[in-house]
Amino acid sequence: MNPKGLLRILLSVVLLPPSINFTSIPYPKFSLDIQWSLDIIWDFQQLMTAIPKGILSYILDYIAVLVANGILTFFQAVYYFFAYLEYYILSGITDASGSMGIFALPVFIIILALTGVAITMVIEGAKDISVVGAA
Amino acid sequence: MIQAALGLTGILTNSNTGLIPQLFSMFGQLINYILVAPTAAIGSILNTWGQSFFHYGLVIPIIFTFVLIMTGLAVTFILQVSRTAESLGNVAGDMGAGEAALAIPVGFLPLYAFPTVFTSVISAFITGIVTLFQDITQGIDTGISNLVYGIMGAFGSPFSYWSLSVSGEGLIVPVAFISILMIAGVILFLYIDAQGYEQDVYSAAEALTKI
Repeated sequence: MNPKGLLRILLSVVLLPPSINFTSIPYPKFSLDIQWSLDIIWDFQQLMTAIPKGILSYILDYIAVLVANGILTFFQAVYYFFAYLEYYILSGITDASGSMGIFALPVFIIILALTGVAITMVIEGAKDISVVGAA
Repeated sequence: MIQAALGLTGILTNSNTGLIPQLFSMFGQLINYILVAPTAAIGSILNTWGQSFFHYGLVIPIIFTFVLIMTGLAVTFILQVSRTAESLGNVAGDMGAGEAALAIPVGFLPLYAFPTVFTSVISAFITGIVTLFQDITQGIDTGISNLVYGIMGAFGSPFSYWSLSVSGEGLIVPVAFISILMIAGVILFLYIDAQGYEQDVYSAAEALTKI
């Protein structure tokens, strides 16, 4: 292996796309809290109280899991938006300046500066915009 | 009802799949990426830049210094621009630190009636915050590593190629080495001197305005 190839392998840093994951909250399983006995009346009485409790608990937990997974998915989408925004900006600047040979570093920094100025201008400009309750 | 409430507490606070720890975890992953991505981009471009010196042979130090000066000028440009741009700070909401400090325990007030639930919620928050800090620490760690690899590539590659370029040139090698280094050193010295001179003028003008 030539020295150039060796250096390329040793000193590689790669900009990877974002990966923001979560584990879905498992959905509840329907269960009844009953201590079975041979006494049919006692078992029936237990069932009469356990069934409504079980159904209520199952429905509430199921809705809660649905809402919680929805919240997690929503935040994942929001975070992905910002992370990919950063990724595409940086990836674009890196690709654009990477082919400039020895001028790659100054070009990269100049584009980065200009992008930073543009983003600053957008944020500063958006500060005065009020969607709700505008005077 | 209590059974449903306990189930809900589990959904919120389970250390692996609970909503609260996972919200912190995802936020931590975002912060981690925000920290790591720019350093990866900078490290990548530094390496690419370092590799691009391969064809320049003996004059690599001079070109290296020249391009470094250009980069220095670009950085100066960034500093000038950022000086004129308005600070992005003060974007926090209207809530002051005191109000926030009061709001947190008051918000937990209903939970004080249920010690088990309260303990689980606090535990979930602590787990989440620990995960968040782990992600931030790991992000800083990876970021530093990326920058170090980038700097190694930016400085190591050109000078490795430079040393390889004179192999087999015989007795002239030390003379060429020293001459080239001297030229590069003089260029760098002139640049630093010019920058220092400008800074002195700027400081003097600033001092005069205060009189």
